Amino acid sequence: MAAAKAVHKKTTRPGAAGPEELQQQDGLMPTKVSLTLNGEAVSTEVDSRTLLVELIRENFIKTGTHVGCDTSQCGACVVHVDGRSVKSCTMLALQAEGADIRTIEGVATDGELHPMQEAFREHHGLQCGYCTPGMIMSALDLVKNNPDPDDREIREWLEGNLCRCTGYQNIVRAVKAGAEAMRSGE
Amino acid sequence: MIKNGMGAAVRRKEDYRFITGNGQYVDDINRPNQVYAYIVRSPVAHARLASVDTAAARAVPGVVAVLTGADMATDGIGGLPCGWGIHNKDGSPMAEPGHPPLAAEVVRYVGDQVAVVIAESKAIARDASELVEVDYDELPAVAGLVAASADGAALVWDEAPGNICYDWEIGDQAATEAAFASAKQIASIDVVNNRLIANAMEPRSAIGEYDSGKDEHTLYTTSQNPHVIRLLMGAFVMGIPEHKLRVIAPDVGGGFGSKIFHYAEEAIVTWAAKKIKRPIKWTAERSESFISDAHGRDHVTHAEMAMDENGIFVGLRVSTRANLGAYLSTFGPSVPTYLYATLLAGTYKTPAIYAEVKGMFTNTVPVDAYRGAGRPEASYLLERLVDRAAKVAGLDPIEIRRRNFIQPDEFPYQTPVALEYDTGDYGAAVDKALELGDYDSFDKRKAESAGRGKLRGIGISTYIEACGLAPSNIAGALGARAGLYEAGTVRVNPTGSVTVLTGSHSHGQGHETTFAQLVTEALGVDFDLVEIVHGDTGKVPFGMGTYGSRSAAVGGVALVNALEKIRTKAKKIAAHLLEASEEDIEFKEGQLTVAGTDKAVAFSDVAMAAYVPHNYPLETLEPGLEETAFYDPKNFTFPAGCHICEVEIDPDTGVVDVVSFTAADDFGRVINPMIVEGQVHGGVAQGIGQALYEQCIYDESGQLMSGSLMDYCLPKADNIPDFSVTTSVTPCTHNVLGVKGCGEAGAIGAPPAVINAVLNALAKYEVDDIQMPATPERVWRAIQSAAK
Amino acid sequence: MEIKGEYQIDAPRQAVWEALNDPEMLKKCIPGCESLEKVGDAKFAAKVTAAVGPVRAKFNTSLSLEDLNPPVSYRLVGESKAAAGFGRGSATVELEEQDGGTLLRYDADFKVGGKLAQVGSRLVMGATKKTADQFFSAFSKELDPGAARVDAAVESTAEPSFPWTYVLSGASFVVLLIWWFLLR
Repeated sequence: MAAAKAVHKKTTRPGAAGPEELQQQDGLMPTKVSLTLNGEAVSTEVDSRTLLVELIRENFIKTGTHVGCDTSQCGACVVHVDGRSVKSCTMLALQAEGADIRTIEGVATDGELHPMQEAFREHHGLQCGYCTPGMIMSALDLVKNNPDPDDREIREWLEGNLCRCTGYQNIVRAVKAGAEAMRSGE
Repeated sequence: MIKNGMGAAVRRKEDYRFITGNGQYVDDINRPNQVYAYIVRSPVAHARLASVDTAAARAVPGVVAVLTGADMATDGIGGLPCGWGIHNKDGSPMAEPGHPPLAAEVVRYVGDQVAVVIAESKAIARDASELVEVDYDELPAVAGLVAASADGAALVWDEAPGNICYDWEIGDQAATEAAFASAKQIASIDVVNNRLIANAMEPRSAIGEYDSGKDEHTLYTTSQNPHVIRLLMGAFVMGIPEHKLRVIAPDVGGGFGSKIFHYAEEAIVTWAAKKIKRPIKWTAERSESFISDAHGRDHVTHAEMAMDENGIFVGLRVSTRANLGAYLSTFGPSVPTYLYATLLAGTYKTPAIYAEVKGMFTNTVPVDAYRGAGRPEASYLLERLVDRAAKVAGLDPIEIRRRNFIQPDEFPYQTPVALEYDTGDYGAAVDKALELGDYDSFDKRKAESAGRGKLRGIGISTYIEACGLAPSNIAGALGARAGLYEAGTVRVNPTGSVTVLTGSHSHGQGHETTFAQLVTEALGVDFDLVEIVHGDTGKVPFGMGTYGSRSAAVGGVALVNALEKIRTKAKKIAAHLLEASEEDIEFKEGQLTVAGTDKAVAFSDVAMAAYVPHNYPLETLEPGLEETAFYDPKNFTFPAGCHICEVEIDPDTGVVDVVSFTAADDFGRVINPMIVEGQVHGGVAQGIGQALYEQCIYDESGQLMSGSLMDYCLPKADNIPDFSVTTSVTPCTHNVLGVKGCGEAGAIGAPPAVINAVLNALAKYEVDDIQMPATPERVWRAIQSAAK
Repeated sequence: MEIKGEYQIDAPRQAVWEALNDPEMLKKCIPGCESLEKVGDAKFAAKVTAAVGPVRAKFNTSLSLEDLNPPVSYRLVGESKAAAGFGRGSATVELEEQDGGTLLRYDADFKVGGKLAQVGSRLVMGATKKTADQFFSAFSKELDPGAARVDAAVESTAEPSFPWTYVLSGASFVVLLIWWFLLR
């Protein structure tokens, strides 16, 4: 998986880091990154400390991916990196070099909602909408690995996605219905 | 029933943009030439600012400005105002110290704003903020209510001796004492209502922008009530008149009360944007939210219930200390007083009630309304106390409640604590909840759990809340410094589509759907041809916003009144077009018909006639079809209900598992049952969160120890069961919709139901108290100490 | 919070003591140490920058040494500040000759504030251990590049956990406390 590509690796003996080196470590020198975003080849320059979510939101202005915390708890920033769900705040932008990234904006095709998106609307699986993109991206990864998840499996899978509005019940219903629609659509 | 009208479970209009990633929250907005603000915050709870040296930060390439409280004072920027004044027992006003958006002399909590660094990028602003050298001369701090009330406690404010903001009372003390003197039995309780942090998933954000050509300010902010921010910030902080200040609250990712208040950052970006003549964006990091969003609850209470020999309540006395934090937040003082103690009658006929509340300053983040705001505190106290009273009186918890309920034929009912309930049927809600929750077969389930080594418990609560804030004259007499009406405008466009401008803001509640249903119901206009506009003072003339479960009961009624004006005018136009008398026109399902004939005109043709008035009674009627209504409610609304919780406890670990939760709520008439059920789910989840998981912890020096989502436990998907939800309806008697409000009920009814269930499960250990949150450690310790 | 630990260093006690008296040596071994100065009798000032992931913080540290008993033990009192928070407290350190080398023991009691407190003391503990290990590993190598061996053991009253980025930078304070008090 391209995400594992370590661009940032550096071996330094502790204590040897001077200000210049820190500056380099902090990535104040822009570096080019190229990747596929929702099927489109894109590239830009970022500081090496730039997070993937910042790259998506600020460089490519795909603001459907949200930031809800700074400790990787909330899951509002979940995207797919080479087909797997990843909290995009836990990954550096440069780690995504060459990767295939899909965000919530890339889920519907030609204006037609994905069955999982439809299911969230049909089952009132969202209220304020802030956690929703991350929920949907997580749910899609769950169903990819487990096409017929039960309630318990859904609830456990979504442990890393916080929602403060819905009490989760309608999200669970939506994921279940979305999974069913995806099964019958195949 | 009209398709997509009142009572239909219509799927939400707003969902499409959210599920496709096209919502537009404040942080998603970028203005041309925008720069970024990072706030330097105090790391200590109480200190004099000996010096704030910004030179090194200003020297960083990319830094545009570094501004401090001294700069703000020089510019004559005012303090953040408090919107509700409380009076002491002796009639004197509460202590009301100033609240500068950037502290100039003293910081009073960890997170207090000291300086703002503005730079070309977020990263530069953050880096440079570390170069702002602040010399803090530390002062002694107090964090908790007990420490703040101790003799010789350090003072947060010199002008508030004993750290007392106010010492307030309500009710008839003499009558209550007399009731206690004659009581046959008394139950008493001490409870702590744990301190909480709302943690809406979207962190707060604000963009300030200034147009020097027009001398106009625009503020984009994560607010539940942009008009209130315009009022407070314009009039009290910045001195900007309404017509020069536009406040926009676009999509907002949840509020739960925490986004009602006027915050320092809103004033900071508005002020600084004019200074540097560029738009400025500030967005909180989550760890910053923990130390800058107003917190909720934090009460310590002692209460006693006096009963006669039959378990009939004869008197209630309550003494509460409430933590207000270091400064008075916008509605902070009203929450532990008029939104709390006025609800202490609950659903019961207790004839004499006396409550006193001390609002206390501490060196902590300001405390204000959080989902339920005062009412969960009242409900938790009362329902825990009633369970204890049942024990004292030797009665079943349900029986003691039924004996004391206000009966359906006793409304309107004047409580001894100021409110007059208009309607309700509390016994009916209990019946529904018992049936839906299969209460009668609990013993069977308990035995089954015991077979697996688990302790099963069941708990009940009945609650009432005062919603639909509020009759302005009453609120004003009680200290509110603003009106609490709501406004709605219905603009019928020439082709018959409808644009509604409402002062109610939607941040998850689904107004774009429910309000459109009201339009469809009234005018017969296709649901898809209705657009609800909210959250922009530049588009919506007035409004007071969304809180206290008021949107349907106040904003919805304002809209319905405006719709009625449209109907009236449409009939006049139709009468002209159909050459009939106005009284003979019937308006049904989008058609205006001359009664008893087949002469009819479609509403869309009436709209067209209004805007192309070629054939129109111009001498008696203005052209156009747009109407506005302001609505100020006659009374509060009183949603009530019964919640039943079942828990399973693992005695070896103390882990509490909520295995079932049943809610039977009376919200009056329901506009959209799907949305109402969703509101209940969310509220109950937050109530379970308060009861079992969430707690904000300060150490004795005022450091916040639970300042991240790793340390503050929000309920997760696998902590929460499926809920069984139903309604038990008595329509509100004083608004045309008959609605009461549903947004907070879950957070009000759930905590006592959960804790009563936990105590019921632990009955065999004779554990008679457990404080929230009932963490595994607390439960395990309770079991261990009882076992000894 | 309290943190205790011990390190076995393959060098004689006197050499350890002297190395710990050498500001240049310490500067080399302290992760991110930019400067280290004596500012008065048994008083020192240091600047340490630590950067991990998206967070960087510069800690200004002031320390004073008390109860000096060379080359056996010290008490160190100090404070370290950065935008990410602060730490303050004291530590006792003992050097004991053992197995031909030196066993260093420390016992620190400190408080953290600001962001450091906010994100949880458990994390400070874990990060502190990692930073301390880095220091002693480098220190040991500097003392005897041919035979570096560090056995580290840290116990604390809180559960260790994975280090969170900016906490690591704050934890430098504790490390500074430790060798600072070995420094005269």
